[in-house]
Amino acid sequence: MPIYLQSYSCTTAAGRGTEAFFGGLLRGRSFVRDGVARIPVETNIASSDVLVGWLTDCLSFIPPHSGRLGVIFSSTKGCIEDWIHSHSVNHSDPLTPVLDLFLRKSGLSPVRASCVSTACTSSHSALYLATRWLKGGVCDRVLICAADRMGRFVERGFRSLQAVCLDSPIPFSEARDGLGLGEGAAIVELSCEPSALELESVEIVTEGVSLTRPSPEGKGLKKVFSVAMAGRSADLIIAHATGTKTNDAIEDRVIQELAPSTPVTGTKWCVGHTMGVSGALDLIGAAESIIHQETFPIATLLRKDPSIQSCILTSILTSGETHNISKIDRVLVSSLGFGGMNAAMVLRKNT
Amino acid sequence: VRVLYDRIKFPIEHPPEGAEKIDRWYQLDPPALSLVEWWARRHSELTPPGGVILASPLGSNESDFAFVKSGFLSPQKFVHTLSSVRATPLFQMMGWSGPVLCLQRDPFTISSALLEAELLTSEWKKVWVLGVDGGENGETVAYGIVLFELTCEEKRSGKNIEMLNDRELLKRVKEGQWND
Repeated sequence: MPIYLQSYSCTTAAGRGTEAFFGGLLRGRSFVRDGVARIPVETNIASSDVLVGWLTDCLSFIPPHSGRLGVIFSSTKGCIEDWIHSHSVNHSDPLTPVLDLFLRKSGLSPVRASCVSTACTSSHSALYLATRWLKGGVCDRVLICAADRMGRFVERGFRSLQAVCLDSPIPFSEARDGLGLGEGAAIVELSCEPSALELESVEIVTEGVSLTRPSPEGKGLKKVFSVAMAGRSADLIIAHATGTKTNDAIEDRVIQELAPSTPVTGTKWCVGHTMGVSGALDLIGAAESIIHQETFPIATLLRKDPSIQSCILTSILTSGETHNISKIDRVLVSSLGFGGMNAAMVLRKNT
Repeated sequence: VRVLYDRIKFPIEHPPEGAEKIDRWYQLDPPALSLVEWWARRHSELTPPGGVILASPLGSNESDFAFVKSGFLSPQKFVHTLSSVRATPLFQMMGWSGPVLCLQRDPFTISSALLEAELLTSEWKKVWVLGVDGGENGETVAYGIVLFELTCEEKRSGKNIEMLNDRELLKRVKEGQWND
């Protein structure tokens, strides 16, 4: 049973709405400074209210539909310091109250609702579950609501891992020095009703190799790539492309093996790594690229790491290099997360 | 549906059997280590699932608080604030790879996970719903590990899964009164 992408919207450091996000990517502007890309917010607002505010804003761009609704909240709870300070360890998990508050404020009455948190692959996992809900007849449409705010909790955590770049992330560069942290929200609507974009597959796999690193040979990523691609080629890959040494090297290795001539780009150089939202944003980037038949390079990348062999889209072409993309009809979107999480999905133009 | 409930008390007397498969196993946070210890005790009775749903009633609250208590400084503690990460050492012990979902729906986290598991059995064939419950309570440090193993070979009861809150569901499991 085919699953279709009906509508979507997002809020990022680039601004409100999909146009701001995709426009920022096309214009080649990075919103990451000193390793972080923030959305301006009044300081005295609780994190849960901020997340719900962003989601409600995204929802205003989603046309209302009838039918049995499912809602999945995707987040890595990057903003829980105010939660930690006002609750005890035996209180509820921090995600459910945010989902419930959003449902109350938006007036949505889903027949099924859940919270998914599988590190930075959370959006992919939420999309995976959503496709199974639709195929299993649990509901008629699903809203994947992804939101993450970057608080002290997550910022200090990533800095403690020495994983944050000094200024803007430069994925696939020899000088790459880490990821840029980001925040934002996105809503993606799926249903079985035919539309211009088909979400052909979503696959997730945990490797069980290391807490923080993927397997050196990219075993899990290779597996999800292969299953998601189903033996066919893609016109474009939107890679996880964080800008950490390990992530980019593993992705390059797997792409080299499975899709060596496919152009590769990413979004995190522009709006930062939005954690539980990043997969949804990358899917929106894929959708916009297919609709407009135009995509974006990794604009911060001026000089590719010589050890990176993949066809990375950069803003500056060296002699003999071209961005030879005749069409963008099928896009692969990949993601990796702590705990050995690997995920990939394929979005294609419905002809 | 097969249900197992085990209580892992700390401190444990010896390193879990096979713990050397995990790099610096002694630095794992208590819920992750309790899963490693659980596997060391139970592995001979279990065969690998097609997919796993992690459904711990309070998520990673304990690890989150521990990280904040460290002054936001410990990378080792930070890693465990991602609730899906707690099972990675278990998967290392098992030598297992496959799809994993980590779900929360307080106070119905486990029942909700069972609903998803029922849906996913057709694809995963055998689904584990795995939860870690408990923690520090006065001088006691103990974790309850609950495993629901759902397979599609078994004849389905046809009954809907009852949405019990986690406390009530775990009480029934501990008392051997839970059934599908």
